[in-house]
Amino acid sequence: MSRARVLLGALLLAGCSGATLPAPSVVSVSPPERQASTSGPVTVTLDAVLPTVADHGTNTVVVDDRLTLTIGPRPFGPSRWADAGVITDFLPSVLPEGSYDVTVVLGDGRMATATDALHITAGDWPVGYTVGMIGDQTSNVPFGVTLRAQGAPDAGFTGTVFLSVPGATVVPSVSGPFSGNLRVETITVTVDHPGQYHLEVMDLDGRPGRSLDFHVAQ
Amino acid sequence: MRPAPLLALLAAVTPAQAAPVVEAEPSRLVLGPRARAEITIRDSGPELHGAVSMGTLVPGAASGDFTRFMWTPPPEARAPTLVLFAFWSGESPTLADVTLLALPCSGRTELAIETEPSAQVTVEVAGARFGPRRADRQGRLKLPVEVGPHAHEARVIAELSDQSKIRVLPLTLPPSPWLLAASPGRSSDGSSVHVLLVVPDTEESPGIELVAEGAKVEREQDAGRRFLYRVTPDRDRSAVPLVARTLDGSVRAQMTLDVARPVAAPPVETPPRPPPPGRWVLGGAIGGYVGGGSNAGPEAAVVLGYGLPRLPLVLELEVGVRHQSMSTQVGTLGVQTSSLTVFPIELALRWEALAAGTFRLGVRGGAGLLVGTHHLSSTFDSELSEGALGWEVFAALQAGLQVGPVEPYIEVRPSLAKVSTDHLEARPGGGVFSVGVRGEFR
Repeated sequence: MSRARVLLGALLLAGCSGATLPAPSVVSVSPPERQASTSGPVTVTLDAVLPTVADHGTNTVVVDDRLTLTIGPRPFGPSRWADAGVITDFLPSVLPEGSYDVTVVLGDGRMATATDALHITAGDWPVGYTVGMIGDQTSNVPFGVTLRAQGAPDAGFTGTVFLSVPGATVVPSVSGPFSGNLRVETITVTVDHPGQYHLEVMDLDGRPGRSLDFHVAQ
Repeated sequence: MRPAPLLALLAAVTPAQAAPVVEAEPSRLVLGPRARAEITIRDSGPELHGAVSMGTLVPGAASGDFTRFMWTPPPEARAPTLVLFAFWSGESPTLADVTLLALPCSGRTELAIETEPSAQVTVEVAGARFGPRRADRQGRLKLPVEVGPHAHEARVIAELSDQSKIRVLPLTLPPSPWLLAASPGRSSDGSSVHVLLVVPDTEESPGIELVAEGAKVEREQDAGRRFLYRVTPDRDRSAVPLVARTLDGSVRAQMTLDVARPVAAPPVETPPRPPPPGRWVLGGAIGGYVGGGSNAGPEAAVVLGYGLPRLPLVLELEVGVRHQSMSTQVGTLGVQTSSLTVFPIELALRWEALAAGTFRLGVRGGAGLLVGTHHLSSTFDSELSEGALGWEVFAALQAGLQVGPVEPYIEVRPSLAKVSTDHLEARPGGGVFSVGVRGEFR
């Protein structure tokens, strides 16, 4: 056997050892279509082989379960692989009308993109929002606010709104879903200086709402 | 006119068809440089054997119904003698199976006679007459005569005018040799042989004795002057001298019986016997291995070997299979299962270190590749199958028993083995224990 054949055989044998892991894939997105003014859970089903090293000597298996999942520009789901790749998370009404890619990136850099996997249709928005009376508050202490959608469509508004307090920080920045045109949200306002503040709400379509001023103590 | 051939039927004690028919041409002769006789044997069975008391008996022509021998006396033989021949078939004759032939051989000599002056002298020897010849004036005369082996005296008849005087001269003849022959011609591994002893009727000394040095002698048969003995060599004898003699110790015949000994089996302590060249060995083994952690599982192998010529070494190609598996809980993800199946392809050299009786002890050393597949499956992600390549270096000790054409054996094999990929670390070796069986073929 010539030296070249020996080398070829060695290369073939080496090629048999180990495997390059296949790229992950986005199996499905459910629902595949949503109205821009609605919110709710979205389920993305993934298929992947996670980077794994099995050590038979120590009876241990090391799995790199890091996960980055995005719908359009928005991060979606947990940062670790879970539920056998069936990822369900709440998607607020923050995506304008259009088609969005769903992208998954694993811990070793392998990635996959499902192009136009989620389609957002035109929204049916309320006319505006009112914010219930807010008493005196203390910075960085959670409290509840009542949000109402005014002039909502017949089926009711089930979307979310952006929350902001000028001159302060509010968490969360997006509300939970409205139900029956009503949303009772627990928020935390953090201020640098005690004083009078107000809460502003706005949906993706730019319909606003504003609370009366309330005092936030330090 | 030549005398008719003498049919020799001296041995017809039991049914004659068992013994061949023998005849000599001529039936008597005078010893001299040109003396010889042709012996023809008829109605003989397979494996015809012949023996003679003196001279040389050489096989000659043969056909379907006869076998011919040529007999010549020793070149220096001149004394009258009775030559005995014996013929039989097979290796274990009885006296009834043996045909004897006696060939009288006369000697020619010059008889010195002293008688009356100018007498007319005639000599009679055993019925034959020689002369007449006239003596000289001193009464001396030399007369050539032929003396046969049965002659005991010469009668000298001297005639002078009307007187006739007879004198008897005793003749002293040397004794004729006896016939001594063994069947078979040599002892195999100390087994007993038949020894035939025939004494000519010319023998005058009393007593017959067969003496063997280093053997047991038993008389089996006797009939007249014919005897059949069983001679059993003692252990460790390679040759047995046999002497046939009279009671006064006169040796009449002697021979040496060779004893063929098989090559002794090697004792336990000796090195293993060298294997015959060009042998192939095929075997198989099953067992298991333990290498720590989940590096454990069953194994099996097929071994093809070639025994190196004149060396207790066997070059072996081993192809086997091993399997191991592990399942582990991975955090909150679920259970991961990793299974590995490898096929060792290895070259080994086995030294047949000891062969004592049926016991065999061998030492092996070798190395090779471990080619296999690794499979990952879990409850939380997709399955993965990949090729795996590794290596093994080992030494092993084998102990077996030779049972007929096959050799069951056990093997203990410490080894260093490693198989790794981007997703696997395994050592499918460590201690390998197996039982197997193998056989040789050519």
